[in-house]
Amino acid sequence: MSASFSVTPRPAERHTVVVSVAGQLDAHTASDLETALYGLITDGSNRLVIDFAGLDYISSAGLGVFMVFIEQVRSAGGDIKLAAMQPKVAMVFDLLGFQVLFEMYPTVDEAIHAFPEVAA
Amino acid sequence: MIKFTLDIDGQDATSERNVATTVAVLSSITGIVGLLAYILMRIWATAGGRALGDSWLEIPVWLAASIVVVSMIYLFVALSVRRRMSDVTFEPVASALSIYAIATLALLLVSALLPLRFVDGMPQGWLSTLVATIIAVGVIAVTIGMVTAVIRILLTRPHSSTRRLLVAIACLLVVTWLASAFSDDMGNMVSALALVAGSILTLITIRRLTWVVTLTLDKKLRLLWLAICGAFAVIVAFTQIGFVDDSVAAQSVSSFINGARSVVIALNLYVLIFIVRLLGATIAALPNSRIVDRRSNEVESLSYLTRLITESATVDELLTSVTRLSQGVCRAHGAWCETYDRDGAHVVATHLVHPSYVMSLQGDRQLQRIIMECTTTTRIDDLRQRLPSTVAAHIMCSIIVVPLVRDHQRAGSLVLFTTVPYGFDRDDVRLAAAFGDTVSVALDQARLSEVSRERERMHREFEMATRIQASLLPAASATTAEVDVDAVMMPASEVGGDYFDYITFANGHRGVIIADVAGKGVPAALYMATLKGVVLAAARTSLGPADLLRRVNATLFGSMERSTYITIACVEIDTAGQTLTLARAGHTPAIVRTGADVHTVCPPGMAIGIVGPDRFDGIIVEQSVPVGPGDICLLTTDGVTERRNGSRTEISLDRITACIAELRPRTAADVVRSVLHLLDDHAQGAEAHDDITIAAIVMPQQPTTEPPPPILS
Repeated sequence: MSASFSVTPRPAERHTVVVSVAGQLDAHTASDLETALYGLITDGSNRLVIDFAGLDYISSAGLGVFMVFIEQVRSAGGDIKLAAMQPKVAMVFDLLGFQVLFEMYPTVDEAIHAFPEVAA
Repeated sequence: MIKFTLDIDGQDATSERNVATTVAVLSSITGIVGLLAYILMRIWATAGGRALGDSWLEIPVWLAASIVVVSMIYLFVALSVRRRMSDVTFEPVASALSIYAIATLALLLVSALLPLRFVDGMPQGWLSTLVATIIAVGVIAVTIGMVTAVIRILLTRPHSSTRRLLVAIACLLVVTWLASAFSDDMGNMVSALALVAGSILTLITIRRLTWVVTLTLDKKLRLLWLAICGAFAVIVAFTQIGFVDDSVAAQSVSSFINGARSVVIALNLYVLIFIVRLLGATIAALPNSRIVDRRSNEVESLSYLTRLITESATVDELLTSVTRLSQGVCRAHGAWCETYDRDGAHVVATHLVHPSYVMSLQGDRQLQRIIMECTTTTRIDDLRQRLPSTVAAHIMCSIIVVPLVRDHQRAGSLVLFTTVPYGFDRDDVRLAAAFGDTVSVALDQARLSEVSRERERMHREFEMATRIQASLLPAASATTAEVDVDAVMMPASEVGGDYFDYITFANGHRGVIIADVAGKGVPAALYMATLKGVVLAAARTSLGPADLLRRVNATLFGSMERSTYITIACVEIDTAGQTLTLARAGHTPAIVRTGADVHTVCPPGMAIGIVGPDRFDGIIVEQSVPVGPGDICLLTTDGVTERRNGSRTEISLDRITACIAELRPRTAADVVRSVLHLLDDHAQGAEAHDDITIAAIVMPQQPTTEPPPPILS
């Protein structure tokens, strides 16, 4: 497959981790994302913001990856928030009714600030 | 003799062989009868107390018998020599020598022990005659046998002149015989001259015994021992028959056939020359035995390695065998094999060195750098000089590192070491490198076969998934008088989880359901099977599309894998009320044409299997669309809307909408066909990555409450 895909996590404010995904997320690249998310969650990060700005395409298998972790993260008191989706990707989420399951924000910043402040 | 050794092909060869066999059988019978007659006659004569030849009949019989016996010997030699050996090896030479030595010594011993009476060189009494005859025949047979063996050895790797020289020697032998048969001074002199000439020719014929060089040390030593035994036997025979005139053996042979003694002497002399020459060649070839052994060991080990490669089930097994084999062939004091991957180096095999010691070496940075960074087979003669600080140098004084390559990348190393400096020579490096090359090729092959096995497995899985999928889809179109429905599913190269079916609701209305299971391959196909069961069971009691989807979700939620979900679109067709009712569980929107207006119908909803009924049931909403005769409803999966061409551009929904707007179809099948055409047109032969499913509903021209219209002419 020529489709390129990349996952880049970076820590952000409010103890969140912003995971930037870029390229094409399909059945072949979904496992990369799954491995990356699994690693983050195992390391104790449960406040995740997925930055979709660079993602051009998402397939059903790619969508499934987020569902794998959402419950686990929420039961640990965290969340997976989706941000900065391109209209086409957003439409796929909409059609599937995923807005019921995930909170989506137009920008990464809004997603980060949607997490409550952590008491220091 | 020469004629027999010529190879004649085909039919001629077969017929010649038949003729030769017939001649041989006939001569043997004649010979044996003649020989027996001759022996009986001798015994009869001596038993009568008189010399052979007193009776007038005896001379011609004796002459004829002699000629027959000589012819038989000639025939025997010719036939034996004709069966050529393919190559001189140790075994035939060794067996000829040992048989000759044992038989000769046994004959001489027996003849010396038996009290035979000879008067004037003739045996006295019938018993003496019989025994003397047997001894004479034995001596001649053994000598001829050995000579035959020698000729065969010489003819296997002949020089250009070997055959001519052998013929010359045979002629000289005849001269020796005939001359000595007259047994006067002149005859004896000619006989002696012929003997000397024959010996010189023999020496010339046996110019080189090159095959001795190629024997291994072990075989050379055994040959040396056998040659010494042979030489001893031939010297004893030669002196007994040649120089001791009143010895039993000499008198037996002399009395048997006139002049036979000189022939036996000559032949034994020639055999002696051969054996002495063989001794010399063997001794001369002893010093290079190490090299020969080495070469033969190399060839054997490389062919053994090739066999190992084909027989080893796993790469690790192969590397273990190779480590052991290379240690043996290079006479290293120990060897190990390590492989490299992302996690670092792994010791996969050790031989004559403890794995934990090799593991401990992994911490030695300098040594590891030498091992891992060499690009060709490398020899270090003295590790202490190269790495004075390394602890490993106390044990490993010289090493050979062979890089193993897999798919053009460094995959590992084979390391051989000795505990003394300068333990390896250039040949060891060469041989180790050959091992490395062969193993690298084997590793590549193993990788390729793994890849092809994986491909084969995927192909089988694909076929299985395709079969499951195909078996789940309705075989025939559901078109009835009331409604015209058609659908098609085209599986992609990787099986997706597309599914469609025709259903009937509780109120009797017909419906179409189209679904897409997230994921691909066999798991998706198995979810399809479950889905079909659930849909068919729930449809009969469902009040409408939304109700059906809620029931399906309630049944499947919780039993599905977390990462999987199913999208479904469901349409209820009310032909009487001229309404289509649509519910959508996260599926691609439907395209509906009412009159000239084409629009997408996308009621709220979410995919099956994501949330439980408590949330799902509230989200799913039905949408009803009033339709008229000839109106169209098109259901697709995302394989349709995401169909890409060679430049990875997806077909736009607008193009599908435009296509539907322009259609003037008569049947649902026409609609399906037109959309497929459109997709093919867009894709331009590019491979489909997802299943493509299209279902079309075309409303009847007249409401079915009225009778169908007459066919217009």
